[in-house]
Amino acid sequence: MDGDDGFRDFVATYGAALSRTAFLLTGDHQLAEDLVQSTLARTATHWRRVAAGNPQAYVRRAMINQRTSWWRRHRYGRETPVPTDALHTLVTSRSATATAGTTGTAGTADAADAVVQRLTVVAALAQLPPRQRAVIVLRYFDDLGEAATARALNCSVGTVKSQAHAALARLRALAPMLLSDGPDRSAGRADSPAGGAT
Amino acid sequence: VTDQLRSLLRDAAATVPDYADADRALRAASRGRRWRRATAAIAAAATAAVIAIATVVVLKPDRRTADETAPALAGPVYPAVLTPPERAAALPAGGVGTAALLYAPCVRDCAAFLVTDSGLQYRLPAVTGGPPAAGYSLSPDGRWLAWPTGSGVRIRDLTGRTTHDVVEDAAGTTSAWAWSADSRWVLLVRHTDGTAHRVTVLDVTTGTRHRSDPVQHPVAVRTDGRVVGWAGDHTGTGELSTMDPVSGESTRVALDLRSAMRPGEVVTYGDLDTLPDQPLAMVTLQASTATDILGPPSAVLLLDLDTGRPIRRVDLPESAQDNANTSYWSPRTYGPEGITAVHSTAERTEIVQLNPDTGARVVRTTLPRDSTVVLRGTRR
Repeated sequence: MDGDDGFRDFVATYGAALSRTAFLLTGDHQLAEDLVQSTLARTATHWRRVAAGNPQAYVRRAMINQRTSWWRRHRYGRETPVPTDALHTLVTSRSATATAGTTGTAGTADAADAVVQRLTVVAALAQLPPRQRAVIVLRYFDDLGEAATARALNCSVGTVKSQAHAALARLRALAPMLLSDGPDRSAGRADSPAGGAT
Repeated sequence: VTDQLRSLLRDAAATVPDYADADRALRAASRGRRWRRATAAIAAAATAAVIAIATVVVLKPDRRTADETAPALAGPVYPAVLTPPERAAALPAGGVGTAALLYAPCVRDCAAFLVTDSGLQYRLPAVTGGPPAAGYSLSPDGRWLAWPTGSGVRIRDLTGRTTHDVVEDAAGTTSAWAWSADSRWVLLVRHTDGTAHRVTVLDVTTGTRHRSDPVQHPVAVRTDGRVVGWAGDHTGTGELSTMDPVSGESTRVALDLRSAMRPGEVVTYGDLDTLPDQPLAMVTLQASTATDILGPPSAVLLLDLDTGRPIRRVDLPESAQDNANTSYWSPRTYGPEGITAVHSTAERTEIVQLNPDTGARVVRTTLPRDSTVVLRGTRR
């Protein structure tokens, strides 16, 4: 197997997961695609050296660095965070959709609920600073431990903890309907309209 | 909350397509490698071109011949530190470029080295029984090197192959005694038992030479080829003469430097450095001490060669000659860059330029201790 084949195998195995991470990091499909492809091109250049270590960690870290670099360069440019008001509108519409689901067609209501929920999550993530967003994605989507997250972000474990804490607090404030303090999200979702109607 | 968040994130990313395209990434990487290689090649070529041009400009020997007009005076390029090389080529017959100085890193039993303005060092053979660098003389522009040959003096162009041999038939020792400030004339003096017997003035640009008997003690040659003679003692009084070596005619003026001298100081006229474009020369005053008639140099005077009067006195840094703190200042030349002096200490030898107005000192070159140094326009 030559170097290119090894790289192709890596992309075939981890490409989809990297794409999802990239989307959560950017909140935009086009940016996510650019991020994945530019990172993979750079990885392919150094593949022989990268393959000797942990390619997945390398690519993940490269993606985060690239994302941070873009953010610094276009801080006020291409990506405009969803305004907090719009986020509230999304959350409110989700609640209304969920309420409608109790009286209308269940399948339609669930599908609409899922779309609104995804939009809400992406909009809430977009409100976070890049490092907090990266911590959330790495810790709770890629399921990395604190140490691995710290390595990926080139920071200390303490920074990861503090950033995660701040990010969760911010998300709770932005989307209280999504992140309830209850033990189960689905329970929260089911109870929420009822509680609201009470 | 974290479980909720995990679930929400997975839901949000569930419909994200797979953007990863390995072949596209490989093609982009290949393009990047080609671009980097091309850029590196262009950068390497550009760097090589710059180095080549710089090398040609800096190191190209000056191919001018003696028939051409003498080059404009340019200051010597002193290396910050001069260390005698373990191995150095002997001075070749061809051009090596103008010289900044020559030196020997010892008093005896070592080689002397010619240092070019481009920083190269060439080994010089000893030509006298004294210190290795003794007997050599450099023109003020660093282009001409003179040394005794036993029967006379050889003067060679360091930027080409021109040489002038001045052969004396009389007994004694001939040396290149002084240079005119524009480097055109060199004054050769034939000494026997310490007395000047004959002077020869050589025009190095044409090879023309004029011989005459000295009217007085010859000390300098002016830019028109006339020889400056000195008669008198060390007290600062006497007579200054200017002799045309072709016609033999001379003019004389009374010399009186006492108004610029301090009690106990004496004049040493053997080394008189003429200045370019002005009828001025630098003479050195030495302070006599209780134990030594000629103490260390204490000041330099600018002397008007036409009037025989001093026009400026510049005090030198104080020399110290006790064993604990040796510091000896030897002024060599006076020019636009100030007074160039050789400063000898127990640790090192330095070429220092002194600002006559402010007294500021700038160390131009550091050499090993006990080095003997011959600067441009001087014979020691």
